[in-house]
Amino acid sequence: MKIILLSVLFIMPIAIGFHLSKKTEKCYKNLKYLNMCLEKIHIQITQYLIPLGDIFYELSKEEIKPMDEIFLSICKGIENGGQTFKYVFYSEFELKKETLGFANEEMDLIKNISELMGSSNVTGQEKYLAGLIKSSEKLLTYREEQYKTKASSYKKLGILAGAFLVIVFL
Amino acid sequence: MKDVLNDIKENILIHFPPDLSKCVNNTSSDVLSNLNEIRLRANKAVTANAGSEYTLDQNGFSVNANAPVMASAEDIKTIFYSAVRQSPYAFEEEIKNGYITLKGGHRVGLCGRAVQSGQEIATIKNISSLNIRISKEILCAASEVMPLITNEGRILNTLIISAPSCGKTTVLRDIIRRLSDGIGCLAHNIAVADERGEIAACANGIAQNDVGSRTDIFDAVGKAQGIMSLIRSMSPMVIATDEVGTYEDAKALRAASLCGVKMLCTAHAYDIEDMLTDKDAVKKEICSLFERIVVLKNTKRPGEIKAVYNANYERIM
Repeated sequence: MKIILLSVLFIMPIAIGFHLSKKTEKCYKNLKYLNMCLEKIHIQITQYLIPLGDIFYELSKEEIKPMDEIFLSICKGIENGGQTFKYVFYSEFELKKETLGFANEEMDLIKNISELMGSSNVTGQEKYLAGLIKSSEKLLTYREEQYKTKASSYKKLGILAGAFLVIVFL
Repeated sequence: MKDVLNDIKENILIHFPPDLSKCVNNTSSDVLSNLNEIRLRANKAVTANAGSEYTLDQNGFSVNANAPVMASAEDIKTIFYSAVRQSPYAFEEEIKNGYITLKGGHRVGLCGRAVQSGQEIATIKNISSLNIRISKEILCAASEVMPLITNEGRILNTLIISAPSCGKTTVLRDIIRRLSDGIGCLAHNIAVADERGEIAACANGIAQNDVGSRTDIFDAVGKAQGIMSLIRSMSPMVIATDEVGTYEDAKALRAASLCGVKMLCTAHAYDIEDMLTDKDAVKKEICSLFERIVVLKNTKRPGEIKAVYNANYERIM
């Protein structure tokens, strides 16, 4: 009985540490992919004038989970009509917020994207998307630092906390 | 003929905000299938034309609406953005020209604040009115005309003239389809210079109207420019275009004729005298290029022939 209890005490903090580390990693990787997508969207809108529905459909075919599902739903939302892009875009990301590991900062970026993407002429989109990419890159740099420092710290802290609890109970 | 009811629901109402769409859906299928246009103006009642004037209320379109449903500026914005697939930047040319073509060939006319660049409209912003014109393809519109404009299965240079809204384009479209598919004649490779997108009604590059299997469409191109380009690029047997009437058109048509390409065109005129007595003589010059001139009756049924003339302007029917 005692061994089981000690094992649980040892494993639990480690699991929490690994979970937090994974979450940081998920957030960073998904944000990195989103940033890459924004660059692609920027080119497709300003150079080729491709409608948003087609852009998101193409992005969904890259099969990067869970973004592909989000992009496909956005594409369907646009093509089904009757709703604003702002609503379609934001609500799809809001639904998958946890899976993406996105925090408030990322959701603010999503909100900014949803506000005006596609809604003006090419010149307007050029400026707007360039601004979005800049703020996305800034956030990405911050998350990269966090990922590099915090991800391994969470794991180490988890292991240490587990070991500490076992020692205390022994 | 298209299933108008489903077509309206799938290709027009899909763009409406849910509340408005629900109201329109309550309209009796008789009225809905006869709709010619739906008009939405910011903060005004939604109206429609189905032979007579209808107004929208909670029970659908009716002649005597109790509490008319108003279209808000937000509703109009939602429909507009939905119609341009949330991508106005991709529809700049169409917006400049004042209309967007929807799937099914329906056309959304736009009105709002014009942004001008010199003499030209650069774009339209603050869209405040929409006129949704329902496209009704009539596949038998040219059945009466066909025997008169073909000789041993081959098309003769034909000009269709009539007053506005008498079905010139509807007849032209059906002739194109029949020639392209070889219905009652030899199959022809046809190239269409569709300046205003009224013949094929392309949406995202795909013809929404049936214009046959051997038809190439050059969409949103100036007629004269389009004709010359199509001769060079597509080597067509027949070139079709709508509403010719300028010197440039006449010049391009003459060039096509010299290349041995047959021509199928329409022009605005009430009768052949209208064409031949034109002050600038442009219309007369255009007439001289054709072997058949078909004048349509001013009736609601498209394709009813009033008269047919040969190349010497002698009435043959």
